[in-house]
Amino acid sequence: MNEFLERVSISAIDEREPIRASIARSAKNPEVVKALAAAVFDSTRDFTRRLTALGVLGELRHPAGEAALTQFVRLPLPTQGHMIEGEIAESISLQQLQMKAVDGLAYAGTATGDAEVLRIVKQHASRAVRAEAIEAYLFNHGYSAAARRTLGGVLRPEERAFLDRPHRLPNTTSTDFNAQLANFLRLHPELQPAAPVHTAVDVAGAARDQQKDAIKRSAPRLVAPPRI
Amino acid sequence: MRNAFGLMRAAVLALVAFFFVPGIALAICDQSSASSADSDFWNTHGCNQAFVQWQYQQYNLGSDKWGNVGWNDDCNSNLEFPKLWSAAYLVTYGLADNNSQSFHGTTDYRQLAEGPDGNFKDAVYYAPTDDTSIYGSFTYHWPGKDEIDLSCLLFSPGDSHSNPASRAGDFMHEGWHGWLTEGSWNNGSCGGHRCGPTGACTVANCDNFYWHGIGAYAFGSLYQTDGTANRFHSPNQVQVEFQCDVSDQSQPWVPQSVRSAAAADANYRAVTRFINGPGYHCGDPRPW
Repeated sequence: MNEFLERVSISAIDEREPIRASIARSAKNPEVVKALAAAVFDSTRDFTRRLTALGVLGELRHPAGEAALTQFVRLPLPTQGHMIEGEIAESISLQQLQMKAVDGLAYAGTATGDAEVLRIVKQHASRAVRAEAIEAYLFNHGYSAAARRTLGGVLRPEERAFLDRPHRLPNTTSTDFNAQLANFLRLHPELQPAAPVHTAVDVAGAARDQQKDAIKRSAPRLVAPPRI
Repeated sequence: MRNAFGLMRAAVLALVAFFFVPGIALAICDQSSASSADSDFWNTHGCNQAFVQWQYQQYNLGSDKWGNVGWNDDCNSNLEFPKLWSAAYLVTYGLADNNSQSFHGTTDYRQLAEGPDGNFKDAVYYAPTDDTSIYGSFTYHWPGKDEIDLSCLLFSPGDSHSNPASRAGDFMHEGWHGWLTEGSWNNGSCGGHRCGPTGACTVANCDNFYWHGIGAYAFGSLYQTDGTANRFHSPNQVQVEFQCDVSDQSQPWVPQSVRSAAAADANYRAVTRFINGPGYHCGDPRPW
């Protein structure tokens, strides 16, 4: 399993479909699911390896995998740990992993998977995980009007904008993205940001900046990197 | 940060550092290993000495800051300095620059991250810091180059931000504080951000998201503003857009683990850091 995770972890973009096919060939093997689930829950593994394991587990679409993802996304978020900029670092890591677990549940295409995703939209403690649940549900239901109605019935009123949030998939064109953005801002004019403001006038600071800018004009600019 | 007291203090600290503690580098993080995303990315370029020689000059790095964290062992991928130059490699070579799909181009991200003066900011240098209450920080200095500090959280393999995409994302975030300083923009009093939680922002340091479409900024023009919310960026926004471009619009050889970590960081940040959020969602919601 470790070798397989290492292989998919380093894979390039053009290997995506062959690897998806390879994962699909393992979809009926409970031992693979068991090993992946063990990797997902193994907190001694580094974050990106667990992220990869969660992605493969979700891609398998195996009932036991769905159960493991459900169990994982229900893990309580740490309430103590290393504080950073008002957040707990251990909680950030778990939330990002749970976001990936939600992607797998929504991709399962089962009634139980969808029910869990909708439960997350309504009840999960993390705004980030709820947001990912909404996006993953919409994606897996073709961004349909029916999916929007279903989500609209369970999401928190203050998170209604998530339904209309612009999303960029790897193949999204500028035309499509810009139309999404225009629609989003039409529906949510309250999300226009406040105008930027300047700092108070600082005469001494401005003089120093002029000196810095004078130095800048004679300073070296970007130098081309070596060719690869 | 721009007030006279702050400037004087920064200058004094710089003098103290120069005269009394030369050659002391800090930030001994967990250098026992590298995250799998770091290892995967390292395997795409290996020990590229030509790049190392270019990168340390272009990012204004020195042995006084990086001496005991891999400066003299620059191909040991467990150490901080090698992890730093590897993240710079992602900025320099890793993006696809797709006019119809990328938010911004390599020329934007390079000018924002690299050391020299330019349209984006005054000259900067990079240093490691032991302060793990932050991911990074930007400090205006007079006289001399401005300073970007990077914390252990971007290097120690136990943290979710210890990967090339998150590390390089911090180059963008802190570099954008340089842009705000250069333009005399007031982005708030909590570490250069609005104090939070506020609005849809759930953390202590919050920004606005200044919406723009794809193609609104020609490559190389990210620094431009018309002084209104119609054409402006915040530090977290630039960081999210960079990470989204790594996730969705990277070169084909950028490993899956790096792209996946970039999307995870971007999508988490997009719903937690913006007063008028959520920011854009990027990446493929298909699990693999």
